[in-house]
Amino acid sequence: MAKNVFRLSFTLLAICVVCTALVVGAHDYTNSIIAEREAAKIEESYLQVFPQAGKLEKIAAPADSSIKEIYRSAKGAGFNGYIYTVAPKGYAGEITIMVGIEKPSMKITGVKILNQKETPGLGAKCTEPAFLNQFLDKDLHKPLVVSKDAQKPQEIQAITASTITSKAVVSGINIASAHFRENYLK
Amino acid sequence: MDSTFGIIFSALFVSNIVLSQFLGLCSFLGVSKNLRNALGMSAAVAFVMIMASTISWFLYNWFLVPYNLGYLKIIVFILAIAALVQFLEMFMKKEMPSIHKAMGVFLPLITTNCAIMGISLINVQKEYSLFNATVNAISTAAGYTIALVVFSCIRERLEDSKLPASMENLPIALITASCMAISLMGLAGMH
Amino acid sequence: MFSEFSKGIIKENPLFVQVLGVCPALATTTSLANALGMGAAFSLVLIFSNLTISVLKSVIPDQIRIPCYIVVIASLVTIAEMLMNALVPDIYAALGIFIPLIVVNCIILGRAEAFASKYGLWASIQDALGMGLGFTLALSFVAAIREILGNGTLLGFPVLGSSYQPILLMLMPPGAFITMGFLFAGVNYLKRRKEVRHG
Repeated sequence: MAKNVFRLSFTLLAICVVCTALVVGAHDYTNSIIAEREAAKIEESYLQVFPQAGKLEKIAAPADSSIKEIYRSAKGAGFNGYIYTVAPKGYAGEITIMVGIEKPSMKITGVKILNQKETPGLGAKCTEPAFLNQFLDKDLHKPLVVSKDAQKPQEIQAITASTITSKAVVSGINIASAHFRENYLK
Repeated sequence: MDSTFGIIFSALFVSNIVLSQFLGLCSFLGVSKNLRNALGMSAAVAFVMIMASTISWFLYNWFLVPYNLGYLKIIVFILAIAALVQFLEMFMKKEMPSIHKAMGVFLPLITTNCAIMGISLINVQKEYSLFNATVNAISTAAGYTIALVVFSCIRERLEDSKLPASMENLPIALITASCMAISLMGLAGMH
Repeated sequence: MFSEFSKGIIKENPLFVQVLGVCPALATTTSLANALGMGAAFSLVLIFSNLTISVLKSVIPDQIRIPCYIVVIASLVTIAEMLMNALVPDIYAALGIFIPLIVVNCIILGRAEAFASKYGLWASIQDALGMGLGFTLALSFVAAIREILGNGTLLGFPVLGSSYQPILLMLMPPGAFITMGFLFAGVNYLKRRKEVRHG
């Protein structure tokens, strides 16, 4: 009996060790590829939302807010803009948005949706240029508003039948711009 | 950060584990032919789900994360769940024969129930705290029970209805599930 | 010679005949590309798990075979997950939690227990190829229906013309249940017709 138990445990242990070794090997192989790709992707998004970016530096984001990350871009003597990553609540979970704001004009230089789980065909249209390009060059001295029939400069045309998603994206950008106005406008 | 209320509401209805996330369907379709079995299965799933999610939370956050071994989570979780189910079965047989009689037949099926593994993985993925992970497990189990009990009641009635022969059993069950999923969609966006 | 291969495609199709793996069949069939990715990951794991278990069957004592199978399958799934994350990140993101959940897919453990632990290496690989292909084809069939009706496209290319108003519901959970319901009704119909014919 005792010998049998020993044999059983040993076989199981041997299989576990071999399997784990294989997994660790695969992890080491894939990890660098994944890390490289992720880093390249993030780098690319910074340039997409803020093409004039100089040297980027991460600064502290407020706790208890949907602001996840803030980067400031240093160019010349001062800072020429900020990149915010915000994650407001959408229709189905958080929508992660990256927005670039130029200083001192306080205009939006670009908006990108990094992650969303909105309804395909409805809210998921928030990733399309038709919706996102509206934000380009918007002046952020005042908050933006969602409208079903956008006319005024502060208004953003909502995605048809996806008001919740549209409002979420706009609210995320407003949170970023409010933080910008309070802290960096002077 | 998801609020606790948001987790509860979404697990019960909006992203119901069975009807919207498609986890645990084998048991959902398999044991829903009558209410008695549905209740037994729900109880077994609820019990194991809550224990498994707590155990996997500790394993992940206390052992895997500190050593940067997060990528071993699939292996560790499935072994923990298999061991837990085995242990529960032996324990119940010896100490609680009456409960074992009621839900014992469902226990072996639970190791391969993707709802259990799914919740453990979702808790980790969303980086829930222990409290939120447990709340999520309890409300998901409640959501599973609601779906299974309502579904089995409808299926009991369906047994007496006249259906085209090809639609009997599985096809009509899936179409019933579809109607239930549509009704849950009406609640989306409320959390 | 290829009988073990061909049985998985129609006669013992894992999804439509054995009714196994329903969860991924509903969740990952929102587009044909996703279904193909899921099918590929699934087949890869199945082939290697059948292969490993067939080779190790004489080494593994009977009492602990299930834990051994689980460890082997879980390791293979982890490796498949990492490879997909590195090589096909878009599909990896779309399939999400359903890649790790291949580990609890009843088909894989079922084939290990019912086939690979009893038959030789060559037969086991054939069996896995057949079952994998059968499952992939079944997923693709469901996904093709949902993508064409729900988005008017197939593999991303428009097929129904611009005047077609997509039925968004088909891409959402209820659409998955409806599609599967009618497909299973079709399978039942074919089965019954065959029975009548053979008297």
